[in-house]
Amino acid sequence: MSENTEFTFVSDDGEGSENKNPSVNPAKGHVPDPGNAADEGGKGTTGEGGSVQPEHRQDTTGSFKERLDRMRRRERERSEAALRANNEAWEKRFKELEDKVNAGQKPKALRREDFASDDEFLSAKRQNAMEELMNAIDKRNADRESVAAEERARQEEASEYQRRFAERFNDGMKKTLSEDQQKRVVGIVNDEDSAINVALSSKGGEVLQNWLMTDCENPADVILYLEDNAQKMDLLLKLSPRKQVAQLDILERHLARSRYEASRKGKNGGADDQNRQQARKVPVMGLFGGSTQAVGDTSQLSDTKRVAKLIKAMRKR
Amino acid sequence: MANILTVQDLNDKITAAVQDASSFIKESKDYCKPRKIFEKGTRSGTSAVLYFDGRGEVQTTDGVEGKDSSGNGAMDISKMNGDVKQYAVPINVANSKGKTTWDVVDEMFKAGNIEEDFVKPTANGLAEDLIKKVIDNAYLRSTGVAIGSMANASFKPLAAVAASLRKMRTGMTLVGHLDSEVIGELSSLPVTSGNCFGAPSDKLEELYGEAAIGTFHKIPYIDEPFMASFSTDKDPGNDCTVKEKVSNEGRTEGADFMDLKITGITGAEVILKGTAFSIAGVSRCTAAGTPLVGTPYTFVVQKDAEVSGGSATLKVLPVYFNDNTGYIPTVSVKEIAAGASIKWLTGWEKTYSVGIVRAREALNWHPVEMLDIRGCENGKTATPSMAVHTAFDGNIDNAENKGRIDVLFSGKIVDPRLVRTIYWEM
Repeated sequence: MSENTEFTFVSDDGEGSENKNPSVNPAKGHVPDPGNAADEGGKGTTGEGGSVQPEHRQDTTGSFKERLDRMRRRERERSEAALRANNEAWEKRFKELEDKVNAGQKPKALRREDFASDDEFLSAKRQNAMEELMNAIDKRNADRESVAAEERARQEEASEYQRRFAERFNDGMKKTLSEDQQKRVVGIVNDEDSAINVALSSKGGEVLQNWLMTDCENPADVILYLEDNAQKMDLLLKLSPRKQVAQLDILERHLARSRYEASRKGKNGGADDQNRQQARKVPVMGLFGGSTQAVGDTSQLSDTKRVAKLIKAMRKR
Repeated sequence: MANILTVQDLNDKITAAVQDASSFIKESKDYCKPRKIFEKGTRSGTSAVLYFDGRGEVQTTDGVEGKDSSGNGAMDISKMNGDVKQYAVPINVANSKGKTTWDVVDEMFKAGNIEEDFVKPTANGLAEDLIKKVIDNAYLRSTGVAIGSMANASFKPLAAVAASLRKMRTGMTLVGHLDSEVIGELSSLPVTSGNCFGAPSDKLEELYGEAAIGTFHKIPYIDEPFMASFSTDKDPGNDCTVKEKVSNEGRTEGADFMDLKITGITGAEVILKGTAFSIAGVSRCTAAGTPLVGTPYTFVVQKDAEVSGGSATLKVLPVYFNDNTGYIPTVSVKEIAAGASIKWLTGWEKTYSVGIVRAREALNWHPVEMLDIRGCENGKTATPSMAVHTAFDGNIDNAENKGRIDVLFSGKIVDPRLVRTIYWEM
């Protein structure tokens, strides 16, 4: 719009220069500045007729200079805007990078005034971002390593578990089973097609497996029983995990008790006299129908204090 | 913790609820613990004898230099520590039982109402059973009776027993238990001076919760739904007398009862337990054994006695006569002579509800801890006033999981001198 006006003005001006119409330029109030490059350039372009009509030419030159001036100024503004947009885009990308990679950790704050030029500032910023990115990658790699270390530790723990299980298995077996029974139970464990192995590898067998590995005090005994009572094992596996564990706990107590009774009657199932004390031991369970140890605040208190606390709670309701 | 119920948790909850529901035994003394009677593992039905020391023979000769008939002076060492005799009270272990299955418990726990639907009803059942058993061991074991009437309820009997107990000069904590209906009747009286229960103190509230009604003459009264009641038979007439002499010699030590033969009964075929009477000239003694002249000692018939030929052998609480043989005497006389006239205190063909006012020390309450049941999942909680044991037994063959709850205890009035009963005619 303004350009059109300008051009109209220029063509008017062109004609006006022949019409020697000076009224236009004074209205603009332009005073040519000898130090102004644009003014000088203007002079240079109209150099030939400079001496003929100095006032008029100066006017026209001034007007031309002005146009040039404006064009240059516009050009400068345009490039500045582009630069700004570019910077903003970079800022935005840095920000995104910062959020994404550093997860809240801010990069070192760089300040424009610390750098001589925009370019230096920008390149420093880019450098900084790259560093952050590299750090993040390093960190991720380190994390991966620690995860791997944890995994290794877990595997070690698991093998320790298995070792302890084997220990319990062997000890319990020697204490409670006769030699024939011992041979049989080892055979059962090594036979992939034995009922218990089939059950353990089937869907839903993991509760039983877990219980045998961790909670069971005398796995050999239980395995022997379950192998002989495969039907009951099938029924067991159909229960909910919680009930399964409850039933297994019951089974273990049942076996311990029948062993104790058998040893008392003298017709022991492998438990000779010196093992009687051991056979007497009934598994001490902290829980009924649960597999994890429940230790709360109140369980540490004396009976009297616990009961007083409960009475207070009852009265409150 | 929150989503797992252990047998121990359950047992704790039941203990708390049983303890809260059994206010009758709250003011009591554990005589068994220091004597190591009924220690942990004692079974239900076991009996033992509690011995209470007498005061020893008392020198009767006045003055330091004086001699008695056998030539002993007051300062004679053999007379200083005379023969200390003990009186013996038989006690035993009782059991209040409950049963359940874990399936029931588990279901209610999962539904989130274990306390309301299982613990409270179970505990109330246990508490009711044990309180009934203790009251059976208490309501006849009294040495003073005040008669009241439900139709004309007043606070007078309460005042009478309070005065009677204070006269024993024990300085002990007193507590009263009345039937809920009696409490209701008394509470409906117009509030005038001396005609109402004072507000319960904070201490009472803490001890008895909702059951505390208030205090009267500084004795807290507790609402108790299971106070015993009894009936009397036909009138045996006003001319009954003691048939045979009774003295310290004839009494069997360590027995719950003493025989008292009476004669002159007319018109009655049986004298029912609970019937109360006094004998002319037989007064009570203070807790230290000093006779209270003019304060009749009250006998309570402990067992139904059949009348034959106008005579009957009544079972009464053993009395200790004032014959200076080393007991703390409970009656003022050396013996009950034959021919002493009997004054009946109870009315005839009536039903009475019994209220009990007593010193704390009169009631022996000892919770007995149970041993774990082998092969079961056991939960046990023992506080100074209650011991509860829960055991669940599992069976894989039929997936059953039965449980039993046991509250073992020994509870009985062992010092009837410190007990007064109020008979409320219904």
